[in-house]
Amino acid sequence: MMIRTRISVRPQVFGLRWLSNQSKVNFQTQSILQQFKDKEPEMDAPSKMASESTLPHIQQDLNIKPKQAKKKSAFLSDSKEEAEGFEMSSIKQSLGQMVIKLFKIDMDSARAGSVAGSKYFGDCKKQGMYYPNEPLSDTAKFYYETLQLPQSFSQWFQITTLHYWMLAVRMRAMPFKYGKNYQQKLVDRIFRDMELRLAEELGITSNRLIENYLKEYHTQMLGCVLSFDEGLMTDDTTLGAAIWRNVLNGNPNVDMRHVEALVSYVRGNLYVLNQITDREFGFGKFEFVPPHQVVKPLTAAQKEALKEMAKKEFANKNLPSQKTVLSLDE
Amino acid sequence: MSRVEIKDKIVALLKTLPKDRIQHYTSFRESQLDRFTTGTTVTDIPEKDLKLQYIALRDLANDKYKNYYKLDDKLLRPKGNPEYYERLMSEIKGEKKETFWTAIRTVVFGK
Repeated sequence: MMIRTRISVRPQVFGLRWLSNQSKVNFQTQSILQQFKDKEPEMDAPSKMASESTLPHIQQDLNIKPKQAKKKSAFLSDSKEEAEGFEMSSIKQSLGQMVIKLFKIDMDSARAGSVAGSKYFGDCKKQGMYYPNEPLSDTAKFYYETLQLPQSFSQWFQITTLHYWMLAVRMRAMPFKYGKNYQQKLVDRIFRDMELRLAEELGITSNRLIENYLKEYHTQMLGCVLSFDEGLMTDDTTLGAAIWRNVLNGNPNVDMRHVEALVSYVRGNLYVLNQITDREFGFGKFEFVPPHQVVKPLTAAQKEALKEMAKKEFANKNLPSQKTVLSLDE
Repeated sequence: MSRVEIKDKIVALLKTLPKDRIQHYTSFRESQLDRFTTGTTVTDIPEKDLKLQYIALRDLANDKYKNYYKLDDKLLRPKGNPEYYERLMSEIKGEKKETFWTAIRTVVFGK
């Protein structure tokens, strides 16, 4: 009798819940653990992070007496094409556009010279550049004052190599043919500049000596790139150890806060390089975020807005010299 | 936390760090273990700074920056050379050795 009554009051629904006499309760979609999850960590600028520590500085004995520049060479070159604010005459410009169109010149390859070999080279060079008795730039202050690194040509090279490597990581992500070309142009220019500066600024007259130095620096660069690559693919401590060996000179009395600041600086800049599109990067739109600024991860909406802005910017670049196959989506 | 407690924590953390996969001119792990277990480092460092040393090391060991600045396959599997990092890591870990012919191929083709 009881069973009959129950069946008669049940609505005629033959879904999965027809045996249940309780109201439907939805599964919890958000994990209970979510409320205990740590909030997004607050991030400080690398230079602020490094200067927070007041660990007594113990001078590292590197057994070197660094030679200082006696002269100052032009930052890029004496060529007027590389001077700031240079603009080609309109006749030369139209003639150039005609030649590019006529011979169907691959501008992505041609552009590597002016972008990687000049603009990005300058960006790498200026980070740790210093001259005796001249005020330091903000980035140089971070290395020589905050991190208290010695002012030497080799130290400048180590800082430059770190920045070269960050750009090389992004260049690998370009189409192979162009990425390789960009890397080649950048590294060639770094070594050409070093060759000239060793002779002009440091006054080394022996070509054999300069050649030996360059070979040694090249070997160092290969070692640095390998160590940084390993750090990129593994963890922060491996990257930190690579930075400690190659930028902080393997100082046994290192301030850990300095290692941390440099890891944060490198990872932050790599994040920006990860967000920039091939075309923007290929046209030289990337700038290193200086150590006194903080990189904050972008939201999906911000990423979309940046892509839209880039598309708008490149929509009007239709000249033969601005032709490109580099992607605006990745 | 006393100085000794902080020092013990630093040493414990340093011991958890992986050993170098390749032999370098110096090892971060060994050099720092030596610094914090022997000598007068702990007494020379002000307590506030010793704590900062620990925090910095802890953040690095927890991959704070790798997790905060997440990279995607765009950089980690670069389209110009997708196998680049895999080959490099397998060589470093000793899983796969470059042979003479694969080395020649890298030199000739660039990847």
